[in-house]
Parts: sequence; C-alpha cells; structure tokens
Amino acid sequence: MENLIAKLKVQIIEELSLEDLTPEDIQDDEPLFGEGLGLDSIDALSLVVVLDREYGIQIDDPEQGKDILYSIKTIAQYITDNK
Amino acid sequence: MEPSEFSISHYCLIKNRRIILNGEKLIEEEAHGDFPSFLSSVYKTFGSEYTKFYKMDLLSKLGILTTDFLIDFGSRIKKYNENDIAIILANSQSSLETDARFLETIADENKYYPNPALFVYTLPNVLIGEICIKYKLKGESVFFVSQTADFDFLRIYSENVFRNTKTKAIITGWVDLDFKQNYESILFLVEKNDGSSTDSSPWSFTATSMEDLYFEKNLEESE
Repeated sequence: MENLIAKLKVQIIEELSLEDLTPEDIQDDEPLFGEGLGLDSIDALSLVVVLDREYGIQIDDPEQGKDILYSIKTIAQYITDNK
Repeated sequence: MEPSEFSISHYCLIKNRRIILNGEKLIEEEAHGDFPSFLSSVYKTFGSEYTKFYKMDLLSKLGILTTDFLIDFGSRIKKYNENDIAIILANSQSSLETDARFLETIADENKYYPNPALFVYTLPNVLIGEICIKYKLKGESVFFVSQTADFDFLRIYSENVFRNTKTKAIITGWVDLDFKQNYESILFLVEKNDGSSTDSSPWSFTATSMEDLYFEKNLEESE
C-alpha cells in the first residue's frame, strides 16, 4: 500500500493544484479537510472524480465519502479493499 | 471649473509581461515562459501568502494579482468599510479560456470526467468573488462582457453606483484573457473627492484618462 499512498499524494497535488506542496508535506494519517490540509468541497468533488477516473471506484453515498476521503491512508485502504 | 467629484487614486496595468503601477514599471519579465509561468513568477516574487492562488483559473489569477498591486495588498482600502467598496469589471472574452479547458474534460463520452475545479470558474464574475473572498469585501459588484474596453460605460456605471448606493470607493476596469492566453488587465481605484485630502490625484475619472493609461500614452509622454 505504500506505493499506492505515494502515487495518491502526487495525483492529489496535481489534480487539486496544490503547487506549493510536495508529497512529503502530506502525512498519511493527516485529515485532508478542515484543520489538516484545508481542502474544500470542490476538492472533495475533484477527489471523487480522480477515484472514478484513475481507479474505477465510485462513491455514491456522501456519508461514506466522508470516511473514505478522511486521509490519504483511508483513501488508499478503500482502493485496496475495493479494486 | 468645478472640481470633479471622483478621481482615480491608483491604477495597475498588466500586459505584455509588464506590470505598471501608477505609471511606474514594477516588473518586466523576459519574453520566455508562458502566461501561467509569468503569473506564478509574479505571485512568488510579490504575492502575499495565499494558498488558494494556485487553485484559481488564469483569469482569476490575473485579476487577483492586478488587484493586489492596485490596493497594495489591502492597505489602500483599509480606511473603508467592507460594505462600501464596489467592484465593477468588464472584459471581452468572458471565461472562455477556462470554458475551453473544461470542455476538454467532457468532450469524450468514453472519458467523461467533468472537472469540478474548472467548472466553478466557468463564469467571469467568479473573479469578483475571488477578490471579495481575499479582501473580505461585501459591496456592490457586477461583471460586464463587451467587445472592446468601453471605459466611458464603466465611468457612467461607476458614477451611478457612487450616487445611488453607499459606495465610497470602486475597483473598476478591464481584465481580459482569450483562449490563446492573450491577456491584458487594467484596474483603477476610484475614490470620492471629499475635499479633506491634501493629496491631489494625477488622474481624473474620465474615459479619456482611463484610455490614456490603458494605451500607455502617459508613459510615451514621459519617455
């Protein structure tokens, strides 16, 4: 899963235009929204699109989405479990 | 002659990889690199810490940077209440550059992944929203689309806003970007002459004056 986590960090930086960050700046367990990386609702939608486009994973339930998109690690875990 | 009621206290022009602030050349970049690189370079050199900058579309980046210089990152409008500053902008290309990039994300029905981050910028008045968010402004605002920069229209509209609302200062001007990334941006800070200021503005709030600054006639005269 480490490779997947590293890949996800690069994809998220590119997709969300986080040009001032490097993959090393993003902690695996850090919350992506709120106090962590400070992502917003548009970023959440962009992440949903990335998961669909790159991994064929669709998140239909917004409540479930909150847990899946909590951190890089939770996203990687969900991809691993559902691919 | 009656003293005019309003005047341009500051202006900022960004075009041809140059930034002119109040008639002084602030920056002139070598003609290498593309427009996005130019904007990033200017932001890194002069920009205040504003993480959201990188997420904006190119039109908003252009407009935000022009505004940053125009109001000196907010210090020039500190004396006004957040509700008393209006923003009246115009351009010819609307949000076409972003529209075209968004279209690419939905053009292929087999790879139909609408990009939310692009979609939210497919209206030119989002630029006004970005300025308002960054500087916490809550006054009147409007974005016009016209074929050419009609400064007389902007003057007339601005004067009406001054006279019919509580507005005390207006950020107005032209922020344009086409889908080939040709760009030009000029913004004016227009303030009421209340008679209390000892500083006299060098620029009257007239279409002729704005056109002269836009076409850089003032710089030609001084060179």
